[in-house]
Amino acid sequence: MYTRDPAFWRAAAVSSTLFMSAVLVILTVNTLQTISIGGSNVPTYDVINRQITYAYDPAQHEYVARAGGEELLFGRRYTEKEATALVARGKLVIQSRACMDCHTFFGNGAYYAPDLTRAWLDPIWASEYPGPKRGAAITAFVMHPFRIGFHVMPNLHLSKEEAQAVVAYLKWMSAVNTNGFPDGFGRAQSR
Amino acid sequence: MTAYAMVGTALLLGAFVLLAGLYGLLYSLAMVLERPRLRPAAFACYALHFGVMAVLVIATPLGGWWKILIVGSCLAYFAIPPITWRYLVSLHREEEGSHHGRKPRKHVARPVVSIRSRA
Amino acid sequence: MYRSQRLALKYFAAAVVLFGVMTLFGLSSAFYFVHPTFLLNTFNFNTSKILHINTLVLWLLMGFFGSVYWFLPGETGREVEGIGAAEVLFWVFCVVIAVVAAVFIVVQYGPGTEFTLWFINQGRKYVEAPRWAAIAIVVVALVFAYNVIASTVKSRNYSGILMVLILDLIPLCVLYLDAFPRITNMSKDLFWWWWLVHLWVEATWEILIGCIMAWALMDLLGSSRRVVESWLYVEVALVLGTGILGLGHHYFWIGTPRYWLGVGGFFSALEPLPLLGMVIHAIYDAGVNHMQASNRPAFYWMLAEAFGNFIGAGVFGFMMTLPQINLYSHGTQWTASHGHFAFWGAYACGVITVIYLAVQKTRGCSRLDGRAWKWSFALLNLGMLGMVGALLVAGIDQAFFERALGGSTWSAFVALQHQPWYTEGMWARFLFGLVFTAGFAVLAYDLITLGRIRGVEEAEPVKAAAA
Repeated sequence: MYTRDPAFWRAAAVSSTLFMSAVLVILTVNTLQTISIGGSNVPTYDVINRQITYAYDPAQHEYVARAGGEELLFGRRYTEKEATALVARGKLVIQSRACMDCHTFFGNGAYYAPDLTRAWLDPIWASEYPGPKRGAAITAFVMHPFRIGFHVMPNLHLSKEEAQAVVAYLKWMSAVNTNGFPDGFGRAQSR
Repeated sequence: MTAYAMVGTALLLGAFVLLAGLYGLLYSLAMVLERPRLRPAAFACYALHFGVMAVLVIATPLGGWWKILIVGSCLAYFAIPPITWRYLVSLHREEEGSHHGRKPRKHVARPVVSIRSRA
Repeated sequence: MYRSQRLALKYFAAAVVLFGVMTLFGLSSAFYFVHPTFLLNTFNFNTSKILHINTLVLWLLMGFFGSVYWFLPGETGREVEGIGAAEVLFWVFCVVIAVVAAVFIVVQYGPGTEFTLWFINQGRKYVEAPRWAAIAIVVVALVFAYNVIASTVKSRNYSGILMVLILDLIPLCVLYLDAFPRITNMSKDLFWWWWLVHLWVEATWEILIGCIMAWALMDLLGSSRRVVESWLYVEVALVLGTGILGLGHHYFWIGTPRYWLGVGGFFSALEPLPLLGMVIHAIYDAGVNHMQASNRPAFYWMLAEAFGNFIGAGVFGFMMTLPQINLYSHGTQWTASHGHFAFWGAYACGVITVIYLAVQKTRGCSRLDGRAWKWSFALLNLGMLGMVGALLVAGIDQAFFERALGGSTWSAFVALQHQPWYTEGMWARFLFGLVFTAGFAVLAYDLITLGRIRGVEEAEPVKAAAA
């Protein structure tokens, strides 16, 4: 029977691999457009000049991030070029301190510390610090972390300029649309 | 999906695959050990697997397409053990009959693998 | 013995050492969860975690390299081409690992500059090795690929296993190039990062270990080449057929388009099906051989691989892979539970199998058995089952309270630390980690002394002779 001939399975292996790879390539081309800066899910970096919200949208049946009116970060209005440089610097700092080996970004990372996807919007900051003041508060925390509940973040000796870049990064990231992850954000903030 | 439904559905999904595995395990053990009494146990596992599938379809808030996929894989799980088994037996039997192997140097001759003749 | 096989033994020794280092840093990482201020600001969790997961990747990689160097001369009937370079690069590899580990332990992190990425830490999970070290790893992998390809060409033995292996080495090397760029956009960064992490681990590594296990089956059970090659092709067809687009289950929540929910969920729901076939195959082989083989430890580890792979990847994976569940389980200890079990079943057990095969041949034992391997087998598997069970309980608790009820805020995360199921799960994980560590100690003792200090025939004689 043909199924006992290795050549049959060799052909199956080659064709399924090639077919699936081809599909992956096509989807990748399409996905890269969506996730490029300014694509439909990922805002440009100058979104850090605006107010960001993340709330349930009944039409889409999920939580959606939106950029609203102007809400300056550190009291400055960044040009697109400046914002891009600042956020890029933030990413460099995040890699240099291996943040991802404690925290998670979009749920990817080390599961030891809180997810940072919407950290900028987290009620722990947002309830006490309205938009324009929040940047300074988080910057101070990142430079000199204090105990929050059971966990303590180590002091990773960020300079003020590094910490501000990280905060800008978090603000930009909170505006990325992620198919509704995390769900029910802030639903039970005082539990 | 509510928190309770999420945990319940996840546990059912785990049980779904686990029971399929148990069915496959008992089915092939029944063949290997020549214990026909294990076969009803295998099919009982499959019945449970089928029951879990039914609960998943009827009582969980999974989307319709996922439910169709679960029904489909439930049927596939039924077929995998016997088909794999028969395929392995026939593959080995043919191999014992004629040495097609490119390099039979390491080949250890075994009696024909009709398990039944080897008790 | 070929030079290539002596090199394989060195790789195996290094792999076992790194396995031990991984276990110790796994244990310390587990301890942080129950005692978060442990060594705070001196040796933080992330450093411990980095050492844990990087030694994981490296010991398996060294195990794979060793396995291929072990079987390759037998397959081609000649010494491996370019074995001199391979021998030199083994030591280069070891020195690189030692230097990187020392930098991680002493320097830990650097200022936010490119210098840090080049010489200290790249800070992307699994891709923490600084760029200079990543270049060294590329060179080692390229020489390895040259060894395999040149030896095959010289021997003119284009066997199915060798061809699959050679074709697999191309993506293995190419995908690793993703260890270099720095992409600001997190969505894009993670998109390519998963190409490295998923397509390495769930595609190219699966094929690599498939080739290795094919040789191991022929060696251990005398399975015929035709049967083994057919099976290898079936495996490639099914693993890559489902695994390549199974990549999609990592693209649910990182900013990627909605269709990935369907694509990723569908293909990863298919992934357990071929794994069940492998379980059947394992039982078939076990039955045909009456649970006996001249190398019992290798035989049992091979069985453990089939079962571990099915439960770890199949059952644990399916539980959390559909998007509606994954929305809550994603990024919790649940994921950690699945990851530990799947890695253990799919790779660790396979590498240990080959190491036992090599030990048997090197020490000239016609039959390998004893008491120590049984203890290590039992302790390692019990420790792993306990750890993943504890993490599963903790993870479900986390998905329930922190994610689904608590809405994933920092307060919800803090509240989780007082949930009894979570905290007790973390303690249980640590305690089973100790069991696992004990199992590793016995394994190392067994591998070092077997056939040297202790006899190998201390167990009862073979009961079942072939028909």
